[in-house]
Amino acid sequence: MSVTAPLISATGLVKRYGTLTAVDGLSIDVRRGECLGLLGPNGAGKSTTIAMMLGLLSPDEGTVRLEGGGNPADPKTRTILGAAPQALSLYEDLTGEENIEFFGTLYGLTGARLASRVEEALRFVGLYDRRKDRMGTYSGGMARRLNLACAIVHEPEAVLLDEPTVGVDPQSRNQLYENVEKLKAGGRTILYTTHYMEEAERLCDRIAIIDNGKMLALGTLDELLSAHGGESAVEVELTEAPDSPIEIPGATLEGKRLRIQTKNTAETVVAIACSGRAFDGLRVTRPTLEGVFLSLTGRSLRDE
Amino acid sequence: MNAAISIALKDLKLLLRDRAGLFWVIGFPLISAILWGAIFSGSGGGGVASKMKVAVVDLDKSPNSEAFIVDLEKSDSIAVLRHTQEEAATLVRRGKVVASLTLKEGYGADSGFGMVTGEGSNKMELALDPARRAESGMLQGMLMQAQFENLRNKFSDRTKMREMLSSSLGDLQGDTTIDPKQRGLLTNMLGGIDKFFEQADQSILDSGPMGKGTTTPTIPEVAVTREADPNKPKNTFSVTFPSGLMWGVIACVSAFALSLVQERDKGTLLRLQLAPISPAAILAGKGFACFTAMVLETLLIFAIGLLFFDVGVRNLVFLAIGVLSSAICFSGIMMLICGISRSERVVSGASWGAMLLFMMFGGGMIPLIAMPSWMLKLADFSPVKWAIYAMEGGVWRPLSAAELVPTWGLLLGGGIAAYSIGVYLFRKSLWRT
Repeated sequence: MSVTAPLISATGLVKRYGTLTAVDGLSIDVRRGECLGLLGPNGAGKSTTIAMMLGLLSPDEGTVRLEGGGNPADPKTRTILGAAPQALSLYEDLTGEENIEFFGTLYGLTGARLASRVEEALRFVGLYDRRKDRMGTYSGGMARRLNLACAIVHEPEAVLLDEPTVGVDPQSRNQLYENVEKLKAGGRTILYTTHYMEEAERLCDRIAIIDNGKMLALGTLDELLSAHGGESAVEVELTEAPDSPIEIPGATLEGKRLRIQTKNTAETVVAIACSGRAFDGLRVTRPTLEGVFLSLTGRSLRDE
Repeated sequence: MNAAISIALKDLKLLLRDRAGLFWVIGFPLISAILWGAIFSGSGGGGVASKMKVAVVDLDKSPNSEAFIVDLEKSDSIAVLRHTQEEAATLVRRGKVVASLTLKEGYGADSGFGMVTGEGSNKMELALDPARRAESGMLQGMLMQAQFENLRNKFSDRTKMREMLSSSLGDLQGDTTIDPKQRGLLTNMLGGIDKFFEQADQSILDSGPMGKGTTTPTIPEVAVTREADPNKPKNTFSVTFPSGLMWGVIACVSAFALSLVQERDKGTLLRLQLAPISPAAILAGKGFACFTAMVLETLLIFAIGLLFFDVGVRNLVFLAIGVLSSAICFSGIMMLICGISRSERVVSGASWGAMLLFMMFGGGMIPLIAMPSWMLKLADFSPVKWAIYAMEGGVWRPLSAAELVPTWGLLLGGGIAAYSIGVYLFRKSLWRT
């Protein structure tokens, strides 16, 4: 699958609410077939960016274009998009099946095609057995999955998921991850906003770090880690405390525990092995997106 | 268009699943129409309420007094309430009964049954509510009729008559104030009558003017079919059904205004906005749902009125135009309320507050026909009045199409204007630019 052609292209987006600039000059391309993550704390401007990409908000500056030059503000051109908003956008007094069916009809699906798509969407999110139950009786995780099913019933080329795992238990979260992975495997383009770095690490091909309405960095996980994550750490539990200093650059020793900060993990491990010292254990700690965010903003993502 | 219909069908489905909402849309208007109709027609309390209530005090406690009361109880016009003398007096004073009738001691033994003896010695006494003098004449007539029945029963009973004659002869013999010559004449006459009752065949007693087999003399009645006044409603339900169903209309206004704001608050509107449909289609769907619910509610309530309460339809076309133009008007008002309100709480308050005022002065609470003139002037500012007026034009008001056109136009024009302003305001609040 080619991951080069942009399906959604945003250029110089600015959105202001009074004196607050929610999105500040953000430019980003969502390539066909990729899963692009927008990672940032609450209030970073992720949802506003998605709203502009969906054509629900007019940017004060900048443009959003869909593949072929279409403007998402035009209802007809945004049929290629499907979205699962952060708020559960469902009718509690309709059944799961009726919810999907209703949103399907709004995209022009009718008759057998509609019935088939509703069934597929229900099976995709694992809610087929509960299809006749009213949505109000669903658990938080089930409701989130139904939210996703409503977004994909019309088989959009791109799915925009805004914080899809908020308030979801670990089991349902895993099911949602699997759903997103299946969408990716099926060639769908995905724009995924989250403030959980684990999700971005697991699901996204590229990640954009957003804070205060600005995009601070964009790249693959490895690119971000290597550019902004700092050095990896190799920790070695020596069998005996050494009686002489260890001559490895960046090494610090605390009793029998040796810790080495390094940019080249493989070389460091080889150096330890060649030093002739016996050790009981060895652990390599890679930099994380948390470190990337800390490095870029001076704040921890988890503090938000 | 399909999307608007889908939205409308979804909203109607949600309304049908909301039992409380459904009660206000259908149940309450129906209760209101039936209740007020029954109250105004005077049939609310059943048979007893339509009879003249009379407290009866039996001080005599004789078989004759009991027989008289039983006869009274059989009357279609009098509701007999047996009480003590004190209770009966209190009931009359408080206006709870039309009159109290006292059968004094000696009533049964009195040959005239309380009515034909001299002044001061009457064995029957009637105390009438002074505020209801008009009913006293009617009541006197009814009592006379009951008395006549009692006398007739006695005349056809040989034993009772002879006992009474024997008693009278005894009284006559003991009365020294009567001239002996006259006493002789009376004794002969009563003796002759006694002989008649002793020897006459029972068939003669039964067939005489006072016989058991005869009926109470009455003036013959000619059958008259009452002609309905074409300028007046067929019955009270014809007035209360158009008024009562307005409760359902305002419940629809409130329910759909609330549903639109809830869509915004709960995020479902966002998904509607994402769909490839125009904002106008979304709002048209909402308006269409409200319009359809109002029309269905109105038709259902009218159908019930037609089938079970004899609510007539004077002109079906006028009624249809009245219903449609009213539904358009109130759908527009619903959209206007959505446009000017920002939250569920405001919508709930605004819709019910404004609508209750409209109802109060528009004839939804007090029928237009029963309104004082000053209230009718205020009613001109209420769309409820025009909606009721338009529907009454199809039910009972003798209005021509030319007379109703301004009302229909007012409802349609007002509805379209309110809808347009509401859509403009709502879109402005929603699609931020």
